[in-house]
Order: sequence, then C-alpha cells, then structure tokens
Amino acid sequence: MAIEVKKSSDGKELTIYLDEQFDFAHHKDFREAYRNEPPGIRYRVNLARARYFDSSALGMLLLLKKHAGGKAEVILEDIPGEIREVLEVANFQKLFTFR
Amino acid sequence: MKPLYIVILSAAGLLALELFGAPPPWRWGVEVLLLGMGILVWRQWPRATAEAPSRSVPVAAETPSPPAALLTSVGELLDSENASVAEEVQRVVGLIQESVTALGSEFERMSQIARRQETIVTEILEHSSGGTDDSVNVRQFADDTSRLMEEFMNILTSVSEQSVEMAHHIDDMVENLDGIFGLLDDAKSIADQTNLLALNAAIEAARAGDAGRGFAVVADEVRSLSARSTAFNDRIKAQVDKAKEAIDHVNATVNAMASRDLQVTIEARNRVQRTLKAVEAMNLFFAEKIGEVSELGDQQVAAVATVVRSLQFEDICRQSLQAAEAGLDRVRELAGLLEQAAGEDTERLAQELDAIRRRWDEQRHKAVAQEDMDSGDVELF
Repeated sequence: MAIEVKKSSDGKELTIYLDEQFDFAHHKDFREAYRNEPPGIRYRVNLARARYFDSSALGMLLLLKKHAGGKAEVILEDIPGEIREVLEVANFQKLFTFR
Repeated sequence: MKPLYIVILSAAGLLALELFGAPPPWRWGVEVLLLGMGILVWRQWPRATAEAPSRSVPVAAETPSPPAALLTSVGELLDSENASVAEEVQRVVGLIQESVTALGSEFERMSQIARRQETIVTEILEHSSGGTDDSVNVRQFADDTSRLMEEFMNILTSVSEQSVEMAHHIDDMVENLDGIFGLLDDAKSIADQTNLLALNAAIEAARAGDAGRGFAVVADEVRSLSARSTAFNDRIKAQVDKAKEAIDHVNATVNAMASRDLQVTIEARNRVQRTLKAVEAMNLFFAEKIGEVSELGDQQVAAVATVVRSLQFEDICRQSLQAAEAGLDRVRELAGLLEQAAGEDTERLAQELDAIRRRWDEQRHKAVAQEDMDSGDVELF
C-alpha cells in the first residue's frame, strides 16, 4: 500500500491518504501527490492508517503547507492518538487544522 | 470541767483552721463561730456551775480560776507548734522562690529558642518563595525548560523540512541526469549511424578503384571519428554514473538528517514534565509544612509568654503565706493569753478574748483585698 490521492469533483479539494508508515522513503510519492496541484486549493491529509511518524513526516507536512500557501487551510484528519501526541509536541495545531 | 475542754477545743480548732485552712470565707466563718462558741462557754460556765439565783447578777464575782497548770501547758504546746509551723511556712516561701526563679529563667530560654526558630523559618520561607535573586525558582525553571524543549522541537522540524526539501531538489537533479543519459543515448546512436555511413562510404570507395582511393581515406577518418565519439560518450556516461552514485550518498545523508525518531524526544519531554511537576509539588509541600511550623512557633512563643506570666503566682503565694504567718502570730497571742489566764479572773480574760477577736476580724478584712491570680490585680511588694 502506498500513498493514495483523491480529488474532489470540482477540483478544489485534494485528499492524501497516508500509508501505515510515513517516513523519508515516501517523500517522493508524497510530493508527487500535490506537486502538480495549484496552491490555494484545500488540502486534506488523512492519517487514519498512519501508525508511525518520524521527524521527516513532519518536514513533509510542512512542505505541503508551504506548497498550499500561507492562507490555505491544510486539514489533518482521523489522527490516531500516538500520532496526535507527536503533532502536538511539534506545535502543529498552530499550523494545521486538526479534525 | 467540761466547758474548759470546749474552750480548749475551740482554740485548737482555730489553730487548725489557721494552719490548714479551707478557703478564706469558709475558714473565717467557722473560726468566728468557734471563737464565739469558746467565749460564750467561757462566760456561761461560772454562771452555770454556781447555780446562779438571778440573771442580773454579774458573773465575774464568783468565777473560779481554771486549772493554771493545764492552761500553761496548752499555751506552751501552742507556742511550740506555732514555731514549727512558722518554720515550715518559711521553708515553703524559700522553695517557691527558688523554683520560680529557675522556672522563669528556663522559660525565658525556651522563649528565646522559639523566637530563633521563628527567624529561621521566616528565612527559609523567604528563600524558597524566590525572594532572593540567586534562589532556585522552580516555576521559572519549568518555564525555561519547556521553552527549551519547544525550541528544540522547532529546530528538529525545520531541519526535517529543509532536508526533505533538499531531497526534492536532489530528485530533480537526478531527473536532469537521467535526461543527460537520454541525450547520451541519442549521441551514441548518431555515432553508430556515422560509423555505418563511413563503412558504406569505404565500400563505395573500394568499388570505384583508384579513383576512389582518396575517398576511402576520408571514409576511414570518419569511422575513426565515430569510434572516438562513442568512446567519449561512454566516458561521459561513466562520469554521470559516478555523479549519480554520489547523489545516492547525499540522499542517504539527507535521509538520516530528516528522519529522527520522535518517540525518544517525546519520552524525554514527558519525563522532564513529570519531574518538573513532582518538583513543584514537593516545593508546595515544603512551603505548606514550613508555614505550619511557623504557625506552631507563634503558638509556642505565646504559650511560653503565658507560662512566664503565670509565674506571678509566686507573689500571690507569698502573700498567702504572709497571711498564714499573721495567723500564726495571732495564735501565738492566743497561747500567751492562755498562759496568762493561769492566774487571772475569767471576766478580764473574756474581755481580752473579745478584744482580740475584734482585732483579728479587722486584720482579716484588710487581707481580703488579696484575691486569686486570675483577677490579675497582683499586689506586688
């Protein structure tokens, strides 16, 4: 299983479904998921399957945020407890919308 | 004979009451009663024994003298008892004075110790509440630590972000290198075609015979150029391969930079937070307990002060004992009277007894001014 991407029919929302493992090995796939999308649309990252986060995962999310642009909302959804702890330690609740 | 015994008994009762007296109001009541009874019996006795015919007849005339020897010995007995009791009273006065002095100095020392303790506790309180600059402020330390942790986390994430970004750039570079490979492939196929072309030209030159000899040389040169081109191509490819290898190394390094296990960091952070919480709780506990100790110290100082104040009982005791000594003087007087009575007529004796009683009453009224300790009006002398 790798990273999956779903785009809304109107093209204004992109959802990226993360794999169980989300680390440096996925940096290429993850960038490919949003690379060709325009900034300004809404990005969602679904973490329902995620089980392990290292610091490169945080770096990848920050790059997505950068790509989306300062004002765009980036939503992190279905966050498992242990991942949420990591995100909170990194103060991500200030940069992303947790849902 | 009987009434004489009653008089003596009354006197003895008076003596007993003076020495081992009940509380004053009682004692005085009973004493007056006994004295009155004694006087009454003393006066009535001659009348009763003489079988007086009328009440108007003065009693004194035919009063017989009491047995002189008996009265003298009672008087002497009273004197001697009086002296030993006076001695005891003096001893008690001395004992009380001595004890009170010792107690007073010891309690004064206790009071000083309590005050010193109080000062130390105050110092501790001031120190632990961060009153001085160099004291350990736990709250400040906790804030600093959590700020430090946050900063560390920020650095970690920003390093990761930059590393991943670098990885992306490397990916782009690898893509470019792959493009070079494509171009090199193109260059190689051109060289191959050139080689083939040169081969064809050589064949054509051979067929032309002597006329084509010059052309054959040209064709040969073209072939060798194509071979050199292929070799050049291969060298470029080898170099680019090396570059790709180097990029793989860079990629691995960037990977290591970007990927930090956060579990260790989070555990460390949680441990620090737990420790800080424990330290803060301990600090609070100490502050609370020291507060309690301080309060107890206050109570101790107050209690010692009360005790020192209570030591004034010495004055009251001394006054009471002086009153007792006065009582002994009175008894001595009574004893003298008894001894004197050995040769006197009873009428005069009764009058003197009456005078004595009135004087004693007066003396006691004066003494009543002195009450118990709680009233607080201690008459110091």
